Amino acid sequence: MKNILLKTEELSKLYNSEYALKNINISVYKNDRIALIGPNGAGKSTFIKLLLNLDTPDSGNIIKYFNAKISYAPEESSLYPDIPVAYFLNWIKKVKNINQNRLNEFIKLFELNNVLTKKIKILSKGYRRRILLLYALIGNENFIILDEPSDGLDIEFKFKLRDILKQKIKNKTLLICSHESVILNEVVNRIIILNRGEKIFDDSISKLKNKNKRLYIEDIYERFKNK
Amino acid sequence: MNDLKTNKIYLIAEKELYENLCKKTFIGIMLFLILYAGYLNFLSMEIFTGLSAETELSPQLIMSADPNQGILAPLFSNLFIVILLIFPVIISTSISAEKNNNTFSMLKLIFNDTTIIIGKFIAYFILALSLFLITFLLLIPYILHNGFIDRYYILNVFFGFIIITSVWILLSLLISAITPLSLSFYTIMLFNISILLISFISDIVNFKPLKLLNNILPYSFYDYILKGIFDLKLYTAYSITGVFLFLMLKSVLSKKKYIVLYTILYILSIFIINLIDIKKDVTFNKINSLSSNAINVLNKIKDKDVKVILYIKEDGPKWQTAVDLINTFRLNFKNIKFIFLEPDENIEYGLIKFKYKNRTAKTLSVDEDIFVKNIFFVATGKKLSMEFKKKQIGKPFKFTYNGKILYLLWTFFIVLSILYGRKLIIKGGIKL
Repeated sequence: MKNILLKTEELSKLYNSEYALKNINISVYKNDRIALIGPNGAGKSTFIKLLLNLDTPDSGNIIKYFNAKISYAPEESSLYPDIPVAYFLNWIKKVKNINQNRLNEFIKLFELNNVLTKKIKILSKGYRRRILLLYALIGNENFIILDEPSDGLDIEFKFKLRDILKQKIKNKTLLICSHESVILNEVVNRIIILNRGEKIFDDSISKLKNKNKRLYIEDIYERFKNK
Repeated sequence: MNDLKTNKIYLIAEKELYENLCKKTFIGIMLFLILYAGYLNFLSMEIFTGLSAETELSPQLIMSADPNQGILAPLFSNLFIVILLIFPVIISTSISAEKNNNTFSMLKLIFNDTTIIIGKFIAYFILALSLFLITFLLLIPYILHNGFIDRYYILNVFFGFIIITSVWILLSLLISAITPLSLSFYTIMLFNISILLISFISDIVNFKPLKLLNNILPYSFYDYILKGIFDLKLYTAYSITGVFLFLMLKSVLSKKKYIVLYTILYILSIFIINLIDIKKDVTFNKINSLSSNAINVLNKIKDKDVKVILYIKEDGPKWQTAVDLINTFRLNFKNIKFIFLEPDENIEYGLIKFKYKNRTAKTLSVDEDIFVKNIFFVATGKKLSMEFKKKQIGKPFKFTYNGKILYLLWTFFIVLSILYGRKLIIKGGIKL
């Protein structure tokens, strides 16, 4: 109990009389690095919505044990299309109460220097993703939820994201919705699999790996397809 | 979910303001409206020059030859239309677009619902207030030339503007919160068209419920304000509506189900507010009141319930003149009851009967002087010889050729200042 950050008890959500989530019991511990995976309609987005308090469960509870300050980067967002990147980053600095040095460090880290004066709406999906990730990772929050963080990023930046998550985001709890093998193999230490609203696996990632082999989402789906 | 949410309202307000200033369509609409207001003011000053040149004013001309009605009312009327019709369209996507872009979920993790609502409200309120200030700036050449501005009239317009704007911003935010992005714009437009239609139809169709509904719509409220009447009932009702909309918005965003309770409390409070009957003429010329002589005379018979029966058809000849005159009586004297009756074959159209106990009097003139004399006569049996007429106060206004050139230069200076100010703000915002 000592290191528990957040716990869900029999969490259920119905949409049109069908379970989007059914009796989900999950405990999130401090410094957990969790991958939340599952096919379309598994209930991942619903689970995140409930964690973020954007929706209310039909039954069950979400219990916080510490000041779980959540930061979140959604799967898709065009952010504030009309404002320039630099203004938005300045605004993040004020909102998240961080200093200029940290902001400069993250601008460099996410390679945003050459787009600072541009409006967000003219940026590519990859750049918008970088801004979203910067937004989620720069603050002092202790629980970070990333929904498909590598979506839209080029191969080079996917590796960079891996390095950022491994080296720069320490002592924080991560919950990542991703099927990316780089994330699964090198960033997370625990995996939760949802299917048709039910939790079908929740354990250390090593339990899924064959000796020293890389883990691929196709292998996981193959293994759990009948569950 | 987070316990430590920030309550820095200014951060939401600042972002919302900056975002709107960055939108070219937004600034385009605003500039067009300012130029249109400038043109309208120019036109009013030209018409007013002709009207104020009349030395002997007929009673019908007094209203339009009053500087408040001739210059200020058209200009501020334009401002109210902007607030009621254009502003909701701008605000309509404020929350729905955030929900659509998923930025709302990001905001909600950092800010609580009250902070988000108040922050957004303040941003649009500042924009509206800037429009008020710009409208006022357009008046500077007139004030300098005339050397006088009716400050109580302006104050009443200002407070009325604050109340109507606040209610309309909250209403637009509420519609934005409950409709998806694809529907917000159309919902607001449908709403705008509906109230315009109610206002329009109630003027041409004699249907009581529609007229009652029209009386509580903001078009009637701002009509009162622009006439220079302070109506406590409307001020209170709109303030309560603002509080109700804020609570509804909070309920919608936090998914709490107090909506029914708030609605019941709101309807109850509106019934109570309906009992308030305090109206004041705040104009310097007392354009909406009886002349001071008439007030002094009628004050002596305040305890006598005089009945005035007007055989005038609604919206028929003399109707509007009679209503305007009656309103000036109603502002101060509740003891005088006015009744409109449909004239039949035996009664001449336009006949007005004055009655108190057994004494009666008749006239065909809709005129303050004749009304006061007849009312006094039926109440006391005494005839009055003095005259009861309103006097026009203020020197004649002349919008000269040089004045016109200066006014045009001044308007363009305001527009250029806005464009330059916007550029500076946007540039300042991107400094890291």
